[in-house]
Amino acid sequence: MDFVVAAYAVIWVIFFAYVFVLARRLSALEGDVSRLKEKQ
Amino acid sequence: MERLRSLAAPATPALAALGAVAVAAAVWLVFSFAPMEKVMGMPQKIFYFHVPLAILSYVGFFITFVGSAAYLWKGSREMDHLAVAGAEVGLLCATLTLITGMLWGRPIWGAYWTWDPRLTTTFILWLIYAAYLILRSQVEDETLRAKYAAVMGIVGFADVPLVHFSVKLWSRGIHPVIERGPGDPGMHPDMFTAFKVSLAAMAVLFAVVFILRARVEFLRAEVERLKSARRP
Repeated sequence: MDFVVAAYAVIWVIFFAYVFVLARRLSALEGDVSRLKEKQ
Repeated sequence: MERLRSLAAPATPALAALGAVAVAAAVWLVFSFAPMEKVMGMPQKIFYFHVPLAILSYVGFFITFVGSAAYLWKGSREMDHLAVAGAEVGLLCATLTLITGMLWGRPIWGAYWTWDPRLTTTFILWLIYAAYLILRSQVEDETLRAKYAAVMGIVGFADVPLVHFSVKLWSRGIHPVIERGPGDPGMHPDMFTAFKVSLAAMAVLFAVVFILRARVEFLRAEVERLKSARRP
């Protein structure tokens, strides 16, 4: 049972960590785009 | 492509919600509906997410293959963006496949890892796409980077059929294989239902993450374009 719990936990921890990193990158890039467009 | 992008962005929250509901349903089916496998017992429950993740890693690498070929053929930068998104999300799925496989192997085989043909070829596949992403991060010139990566994305895909057929090509392997026949899923029908729901749920989440990752690449290109437009 421990291995099953560990497997399911690993899937969701890594998945959500990746989604979190993507969301941060997206937010930073959207900020860059709007800043650069304003300066033009 | 522009029209596809404008449709994908607003659909992402709805897809994410659908994926969350589908995953909850899949977990319920796996633990409350699908019967316990008689030989392996509880560790077999890992299979319901391990196999869909492996299938989705193939899908990600196939997107990279198609995107790379299209880039070399048409020179479209957008295809290169899709190729890198496919590689990164495919690598995420391949990483999770390897980890869940090891966590299944310890109670069933008594070892986290053996140099079985399926495991070895999957590890090589993981290394190929990790190298693909490292290559992209090391080449400064945008055109050269896309060209080198496209060649690697096409050549690297040759390992996918090798992984898939490794259990048949090398008979000495110990990785289990489901013997399917016409109209026979090779497992109990309730197990097959749980598997199909898990696969569908993970496919929806794969689509969400792929859209987000592709969006990162499109925005990065736009930032580069705006910066170069400002340069004298």
